Amino acid sequence: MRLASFAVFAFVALAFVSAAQWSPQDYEIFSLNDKIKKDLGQEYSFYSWLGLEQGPKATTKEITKAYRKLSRTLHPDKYKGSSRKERKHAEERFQRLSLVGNILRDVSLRKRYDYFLDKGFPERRGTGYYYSKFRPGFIATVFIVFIIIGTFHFVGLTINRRQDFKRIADMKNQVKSQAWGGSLIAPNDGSDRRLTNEATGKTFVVKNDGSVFVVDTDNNDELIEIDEHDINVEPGFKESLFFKIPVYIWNNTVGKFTSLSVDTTIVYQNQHKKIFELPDDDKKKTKKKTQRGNKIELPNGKVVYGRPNGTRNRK
Amino acid sequence: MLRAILKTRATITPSKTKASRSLHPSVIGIDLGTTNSAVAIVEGGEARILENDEGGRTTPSIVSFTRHGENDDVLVGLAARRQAAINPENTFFATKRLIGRKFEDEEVQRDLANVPYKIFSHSNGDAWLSTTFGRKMSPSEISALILKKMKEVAESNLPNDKLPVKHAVVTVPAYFNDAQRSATKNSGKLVGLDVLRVVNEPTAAALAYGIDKKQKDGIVAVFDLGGGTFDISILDIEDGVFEVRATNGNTHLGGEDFDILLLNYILDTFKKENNGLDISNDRQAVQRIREAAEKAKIELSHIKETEINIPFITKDKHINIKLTEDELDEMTLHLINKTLDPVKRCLRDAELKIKDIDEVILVGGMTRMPKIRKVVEELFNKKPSTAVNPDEAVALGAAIQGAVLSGQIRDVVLLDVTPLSLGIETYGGIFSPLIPRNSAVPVKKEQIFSTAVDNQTGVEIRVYQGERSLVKDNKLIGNFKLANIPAGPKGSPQIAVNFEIDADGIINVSATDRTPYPEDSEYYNKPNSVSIQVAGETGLSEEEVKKIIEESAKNKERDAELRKYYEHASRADIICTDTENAVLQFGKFMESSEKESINNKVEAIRVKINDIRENTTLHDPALLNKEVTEMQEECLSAIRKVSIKQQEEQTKK
Repeated sequence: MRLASFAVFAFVALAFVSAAQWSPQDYEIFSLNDKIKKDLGQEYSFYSWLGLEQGPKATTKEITKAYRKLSRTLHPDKYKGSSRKERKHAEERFQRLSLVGNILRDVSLRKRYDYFLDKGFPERRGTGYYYSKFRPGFIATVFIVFIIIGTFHFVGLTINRRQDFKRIADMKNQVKSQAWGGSLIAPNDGSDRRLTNEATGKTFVVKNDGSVFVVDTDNNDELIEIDEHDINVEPGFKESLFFKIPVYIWNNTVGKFTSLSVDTTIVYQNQHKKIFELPDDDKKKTKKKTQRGNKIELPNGKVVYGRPNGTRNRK
Repeated sequence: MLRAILKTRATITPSKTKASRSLHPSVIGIDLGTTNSAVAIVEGGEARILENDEGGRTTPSIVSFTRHGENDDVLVGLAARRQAAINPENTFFATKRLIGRKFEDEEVQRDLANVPYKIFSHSNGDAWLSTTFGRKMSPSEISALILKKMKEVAESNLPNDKLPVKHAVVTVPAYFNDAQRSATKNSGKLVGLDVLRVVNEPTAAALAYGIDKKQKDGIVAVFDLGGGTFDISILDIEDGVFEVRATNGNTHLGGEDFDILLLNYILDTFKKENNGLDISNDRQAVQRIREAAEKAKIELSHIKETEINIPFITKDKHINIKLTEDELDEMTLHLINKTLDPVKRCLRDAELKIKDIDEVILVGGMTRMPKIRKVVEELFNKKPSTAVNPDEAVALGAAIQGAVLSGQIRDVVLLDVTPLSLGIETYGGIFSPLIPRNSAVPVKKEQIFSTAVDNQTGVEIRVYQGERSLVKDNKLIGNFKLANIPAGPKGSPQIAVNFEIDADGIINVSATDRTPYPEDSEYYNKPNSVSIQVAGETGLSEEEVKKIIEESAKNKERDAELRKYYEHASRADIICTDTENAVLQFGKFMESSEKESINNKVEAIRVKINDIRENTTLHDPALLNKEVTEMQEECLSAIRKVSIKQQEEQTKK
């Protein structure tokens, strides 16, 4: 998944680089090509203007001959007796002709022109030239933005999850060490300890096996376990925007009226969970698919997942 | 195929030519040289040189001033040259070397010590000239006076239906920059001559060489070493198309430098022979030596050894120096060698080898020097062509180009190039070229400019011409300011600036902004008017031009009046000659009293003609005409008597 997004990035970047690599000479060729087509017609190339039917196969000698022949009729000296407007037009046209002559008679410039003539010219858009196929249209722009946002979101999501995991683990250790009198070793008497934070008024219960619970005073003093492993530090594809956005759009349009709606349920199993409902094997960590617990959003924005109801009731 | 072309030409030419001719009745070609100028015109498809009053095919490019009360007497050409020795400080020669230059230019500073007249710095930094009585003028004005003289030479040669001459093609050294070209073109404006085109001297010479000669198609090198400048151009001539491949040169290398060298040699020799007597501050003496030096230099092109004889150069001292051709060659070798580099660069720019050159043409008086011919021959491994006259080819070519512009000559076209790269200053004083040298003109390049900081409303563009990589080594053409740019974030305005070099090699810069003004701008909804201002412009200001034109118009009336007197004098002169011839033929049959009376009248009229021509007394044309008529009648009656007498004698027999 990450590799794929990188590939998309690389492709987009390369497309921009190839655009930026055009030299000033290339831009001159583009602009000259546009002007000639505007003046004479779309079907004209530098070669056909000079009357060279063989196109890029023409020899330099043939080009020179054709260029001179055309100069003889187009040179502004031949328009001295014409109106001012005609003279101006003749001058501009000859200016273009002499540039065409320069390009076609210069080996490297001609190579560039022949290349563009063969592969197609980029089109002028706004302030620069872009190839039509590389030019990001509306859809392409939305797509690129989607990829970029999706990637950032996914990276951010992963980092957030890891930080949350660490923070909860730290908090647990802190509560534990306070409850156990500065030690991280459970007291020998096997008792559970109760601890109240005077600043927030929150009460924690630390069980002898090291698990930490918060007392939910709003809810009949129910105990809610704090377990960092409830956080999935490796979010899957279904949690990324690459999946969520299209599926959200799908489910709210087509999926809403047909039976084709996509299942967005995210399944996560806490592999460190102690399973109490199996008394004969209560310390063993098992791989068991559990229902996803309640999602609780803490006031500071953290998201923790509660244990599934069944598990909680068994404590 | 050929026939078809001829046929179409035959049908098209008359009507088209007629239309064009009405536009430019006659376009003269002027070779405005450093030391000599020439004028030519195309008639009946052939170019010919027009001779001046003295019968010279070239006219010295010398202008002198003398003050008489309120008015200045201006002499141009041979007359100015003749009085140079007695009026050296007010006789201006070789001013083409100063045109379009700054006083601070190295070349101008070098000339300061070598010329007898005063050069000073005008308020805009240009090199200007001043007479001893305080008349100040730009080198353009001197050129204008020479152009005017050449125009008069042309007019005196042309039939009345072609007068007045209004249009000209003027030549300049190929390696002239924009300022020098503009200044030359301006000169024409000062004397009411419309300079249709400024054409490069070597290109013009090639035109004169290759016109209507199909067998001369090929690659031609023109080696042009004139009085003040050196140019080398390589052209490809094919079927009436003259395409310049490359050009190079040195605008401060020519016969003048040879003269100065020889002048200093003579001064040094004189000093040595006369116990350290230094006469280099005696301007009259220096002027005499300068003339002798030039004469000796020219002589040594034809003979092996010459003597420089100037009696009484100062008090009782004389100059008498023997000089051989070999000595001159050795002395000037370093100058001759200065031509080699430009030739090599030109070949390289044209992407040609020496063996590709089919023909070498020599232009300019200095190419008559045998040593230079030898060097050129060795350089190109080929004997130079003698097909063109080195003094006249340029003017003939200019006339041909004039005929091309007027439509008289239709199957010829000149594809010339710009000799110097045009570019702008970029960050750190770096010169970044936009139009490389040897690009065919006219040419136009567009460059997009933007702003460097937010809400910037002006951009300054400094345009330079030259080949060096730092702008400070190149010639500043202009300082263009773009104003009224709509305020916006940096980089957002898109200002397209067009850099254009026209067929004269003169630069134009124009700007258009592509961004519309924002709604809150005071310019909103107004047509976008990014303006371009030229600061630090060189040459004459509009005001100065206006003043000079006004003065010239004032003189024009006086000139026209004088012309009237001259015309009557000329008419009287012709009738006098006729009368004298008649007296010679029939005199022996006339009564001696009659004969004497007629001869006396002729004499009296001749005196008056001389008075008019020498400007001493302007006799009333009506009186003069009356006298002439009387003389004519007397002569006719005498002849009638003679014929009656003869008839009587015949009947007697």
